[in-house]
Amino acid sequence: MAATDLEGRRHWRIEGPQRQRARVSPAYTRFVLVMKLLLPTLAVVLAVALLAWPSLVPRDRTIVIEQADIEVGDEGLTMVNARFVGLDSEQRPFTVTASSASRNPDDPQIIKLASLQADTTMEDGAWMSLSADNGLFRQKKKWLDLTGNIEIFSDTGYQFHSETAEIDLANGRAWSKTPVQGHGPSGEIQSDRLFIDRDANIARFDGNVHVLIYGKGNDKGG
Amino acid sequence: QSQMSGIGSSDAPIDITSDTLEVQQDKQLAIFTGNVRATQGDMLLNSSRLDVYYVGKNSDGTTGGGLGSGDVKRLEAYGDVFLSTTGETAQGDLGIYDLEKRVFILEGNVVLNQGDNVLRGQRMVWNLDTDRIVVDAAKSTGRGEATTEKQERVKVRIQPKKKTQ
Repeated sequence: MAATDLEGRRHWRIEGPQRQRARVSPAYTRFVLVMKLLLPTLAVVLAVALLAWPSLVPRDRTIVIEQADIEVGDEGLTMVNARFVGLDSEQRPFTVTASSASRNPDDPQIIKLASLQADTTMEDGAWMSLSADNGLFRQKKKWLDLTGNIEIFSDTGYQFHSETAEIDLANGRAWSKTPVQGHGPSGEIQSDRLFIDRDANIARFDGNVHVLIYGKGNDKGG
Repeated sequence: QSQMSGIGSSDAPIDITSDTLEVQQDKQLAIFTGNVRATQGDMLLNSSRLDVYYVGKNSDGTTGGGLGSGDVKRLEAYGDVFLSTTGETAQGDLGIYDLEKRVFILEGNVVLNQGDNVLRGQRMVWNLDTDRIVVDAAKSTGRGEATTEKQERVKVRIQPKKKTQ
């Protein structure tokens, strides 16, 4: 029989000479319930990294200019309100718009983009958009440098923010060397840096990683 | 004051911090490393590393989706594993929480504290369905499997309650 004290708490009881066993206070039972909640819901926040970022790192793409107004200035031609369209390696359509796009006069394969926005549809049909104040596209290297208010937003309720990002379009990799904040319907994540390798299917958050999982009942809708 | 009410509500937010987090989608594995600290209410888990094995599901139900679209299968906490709730702590070198087998295992220098009561052994297996905990002296395997090789004996110190005059 378990020995209980006046306050009704069960205490450890050792039984049987052959093998030492101990029955522990039911408080550990509640700890089990807490663990049961922690572990599965932990998963939800980590999905933010996998669902949101890697899909926005397109593999080798062909980009076509669908529409733009042309302005001629001292620095040569500038496209205004340009709109680029293309298909990524999985034949998914994407659109990139920019308030202006101009070639670097010293190195014409470098295109300077202002107020750019890229939209694409994910494998599961979710719509995803990426916007940034400035972009520098290096055609030869197929490399996109983004700076200023980088926002990634999905209609499934996930959102990411950073100030800088470098995207290696040809190899499907992306770095953010400035703090990253992300949140989704059931949690938040932040770190000092982020690296994503789409081919290796890896997302790595570095420095002061902080994951917050909203408790049950106070999930914030997307 | 019963300890039962001391533990944080399981609806409370969960906070996890670490130095790094790597999510390896192909292996369906998320690895928190460096000063891992998970808290909820007054429950605390500390370890040097925490591996989360999950089964991700795509929207059509097939496996392979991102972590979070499915279930967590197994957790492995490595290095100075420390678990505490109000009034109780558990420590070991390795902690394994197998959600499929519904067992929680602590291995290597296991110490359970409840108030002044202390239970020491090499391996603790906690059946989450029956809430039964078995502590034995089996040598640690480092993978949560039982061995017959014994190290030292299990030691228990139960602090008798002081008689009130």
